[in-house]
Amino acid sequence: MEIEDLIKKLEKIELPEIEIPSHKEKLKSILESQYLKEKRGWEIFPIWKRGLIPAGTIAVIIIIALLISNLIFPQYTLAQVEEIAMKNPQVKELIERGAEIKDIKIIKDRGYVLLSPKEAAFQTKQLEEGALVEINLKAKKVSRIDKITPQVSPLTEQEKENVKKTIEKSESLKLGEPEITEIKTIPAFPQKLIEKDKKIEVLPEKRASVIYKIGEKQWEGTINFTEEKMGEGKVEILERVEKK
Amino acid sequence: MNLELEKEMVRRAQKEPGAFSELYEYNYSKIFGYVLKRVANLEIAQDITSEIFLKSLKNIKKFKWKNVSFPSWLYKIASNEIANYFRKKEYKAVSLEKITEPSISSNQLQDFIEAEEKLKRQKDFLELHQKITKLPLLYQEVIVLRFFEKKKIGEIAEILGKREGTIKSLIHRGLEKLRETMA
Repeated sequence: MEIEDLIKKLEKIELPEIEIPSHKEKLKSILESQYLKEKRGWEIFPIWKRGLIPAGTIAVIIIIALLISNLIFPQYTLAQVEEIAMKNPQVKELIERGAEIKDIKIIKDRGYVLLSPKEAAFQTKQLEEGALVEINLKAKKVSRIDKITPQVSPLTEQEKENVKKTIEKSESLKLGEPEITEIKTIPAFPQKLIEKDKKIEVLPEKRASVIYKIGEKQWEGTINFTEEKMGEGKVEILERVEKK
Repeated sequence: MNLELEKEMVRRAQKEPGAFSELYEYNYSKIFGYVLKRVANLEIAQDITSEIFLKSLKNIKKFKWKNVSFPSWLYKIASNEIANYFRKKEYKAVSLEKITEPSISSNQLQDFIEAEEKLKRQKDFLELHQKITKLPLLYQEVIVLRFFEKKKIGEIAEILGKREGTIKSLIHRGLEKLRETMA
């Protein structure tokens, strides 16, 4: 075979144009949760990187701090909190019904686990409640479970405007100019816990559904607001599906 | 997508998870397609693609727009991961099953079976792929990038971090060797 013939063969061969949508979706959701973990690292790392404080000094400070804090307060880990929670029959039942752990926090000798339904379980109405689980770390048992229901909070005009801008900015990059026809809030479960004045609080979650047209096709996007982003006037697109 | 928009998306992706998801949506098919054309095995292609995006997420903050564009950077990671696979012949990527619950839904299974059926039907490709994998890795890379991914010489040079002249001679020598294996 001549080189030219081989080139023609390579150029003309039918290639596998294959996709596995479920893998794409699964990887996307994993990347989204990994992103938040990575982001925490980015926020701490630059101080070391810029060399504002010598690394050796930081290491000594950390070791001393760990020794002192270990003597005063026993160290509980998030893994221990999760382990204790998972032994509780009510928590087990919620997990079996489609809940998942969204966040874990420790305040002194109390651990807190936030459980919310997985997206699929909530959409199919398999599970319509979440829970905030409090753990007594000294006694190594669950001391309280509070039920959590989804929240629906109305959107302000400013938020609606931000949603419009986000959709326009994001979609025009890929598919074309979107024409927004409807924006409405949808129920959402909290995804995060925050510590405020040594007390635990559930960070409210706000979501909206946006229906828009691009050419002939109609799309529905799910928009997320979080408290930290609401302050900056920012929103993010969680997913986008073609509306039949 | 034009360069300015791409740069803007990367800048946003370094701060916002939503923007990283957009970049992922935009690049997933290209990267999965490239990996599949290199390994011709769906399971391995899924694992390698997962690893590529997890690595890109880990390093997105360090990414600077210098001599390599973002898609080329992803191809670069892909080439390294694929090389790892061929070197060891057993790929130890972070499988999604290890990160999430090890369960396969009927949808996933159905998707996979359908994809496998499609791949099996590509007999000419599979036959040619077998011959290509007999070549040294560098030749495999340039041939797949040039003829299957339809990349320009400059883009291949960017991905592999080599001069355009080197890429041209690698392609030429690769084709010679491939012709020999087909004789």
